[in-house]
Amino acid sequence: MLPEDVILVEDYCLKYQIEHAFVFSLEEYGLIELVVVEAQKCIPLHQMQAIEKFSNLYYDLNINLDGIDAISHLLQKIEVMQDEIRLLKSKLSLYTIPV
Amino acid sequence: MAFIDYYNVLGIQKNASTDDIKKAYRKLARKYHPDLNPNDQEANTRFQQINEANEVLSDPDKRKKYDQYGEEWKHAEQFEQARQSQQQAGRSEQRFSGDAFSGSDFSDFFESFFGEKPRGSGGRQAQFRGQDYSSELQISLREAYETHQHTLSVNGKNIRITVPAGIANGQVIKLKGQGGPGANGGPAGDIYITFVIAEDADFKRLNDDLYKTVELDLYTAVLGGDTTIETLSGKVKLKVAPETQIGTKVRLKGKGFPVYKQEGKFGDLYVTYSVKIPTGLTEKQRALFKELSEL
Repeated sequence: MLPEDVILVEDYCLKYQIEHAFVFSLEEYGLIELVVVEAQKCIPLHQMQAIEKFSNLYYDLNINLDGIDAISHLLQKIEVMQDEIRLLKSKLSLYTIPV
Repeated sequence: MAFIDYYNVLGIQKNASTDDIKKAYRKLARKYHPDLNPNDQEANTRFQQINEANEVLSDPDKRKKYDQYGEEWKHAEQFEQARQSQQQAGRSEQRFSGDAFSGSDFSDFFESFFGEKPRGSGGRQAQFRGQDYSSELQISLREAYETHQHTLSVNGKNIRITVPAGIANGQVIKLKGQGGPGANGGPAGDIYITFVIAEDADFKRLNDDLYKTVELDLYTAVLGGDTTIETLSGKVKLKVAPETQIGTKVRLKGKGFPVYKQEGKFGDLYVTYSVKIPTGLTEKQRALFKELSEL
């Protein structure tokens, strides 16, 4: 019996019509983490959104795995920078007089 | 509602082949896809336009209809009806099959022209998972100070949410499964709510700390005394040291903003003193200041 917070790679691929190899490649590239439950590879539920995003890039936009890997790093950087901008704007607002 | 030149949106010629359309769509989709442009509303809007243009131009029937009527699209339905009655077809007008699962929002122009909303843009995955919606909720700093209920409307659906005290400006909350319905038994999408906290006239916030400027009168600043200041949790009486300088900062521990989802924990309030120079001095006051200056 599988825990509720994982889904078998096989079931996921069947449901979403994607290849197993794609999911395993994402794991090899370190883009997602799979877990082994009862000797079967499973996807933790919190990883599903990431897989879905990578599937969009791969199947809909024809971006290969090297590209996805590079994009993923850049997106992480963008996220950090956006947080930094938000914080800086917030700091800057301390020196502005509200109208 | 304005005519939309789908060829222009995709940057292609009117005689573009299916392959050209596909290439142009892919190229632009890569540039403006929401997954590649996080928190970029402009890219998101552009992507919707590109999707819509692709939806029409990659479908031979829709493209034909679009090409046939072009800028005369407003009369397309009338032309269609006239043509059909001439043919005495007796069959109902063909409409493009809509699907509750739409990959994105389509323009009024599209819906007027093509009827119901289209399927998501050939998305393999669009057949399964519901659409994610995002919304922005603007609240005041004082509202963000306390846990409260808020009702907002997302895609015509009223949603009541509890906003925990200490929510940050720009913070995004995900409401799982509250987005568009899935298709073929797929899960519903999510709703992402971005909080925008309006500037407050009295308090500035930085993380969990608050900043406030308090004006002292000259005499209290010079001689010392008490002053009462307003905090978000009520009034506080402060002792002002004699000879307090302009710009002096005082920290009031625990009088800042509540720490998000950590009950009972608060940041600090930093009070900066400014001094109000008296105006409209009486003769006597002026004389006394002069006397002081000559001491």
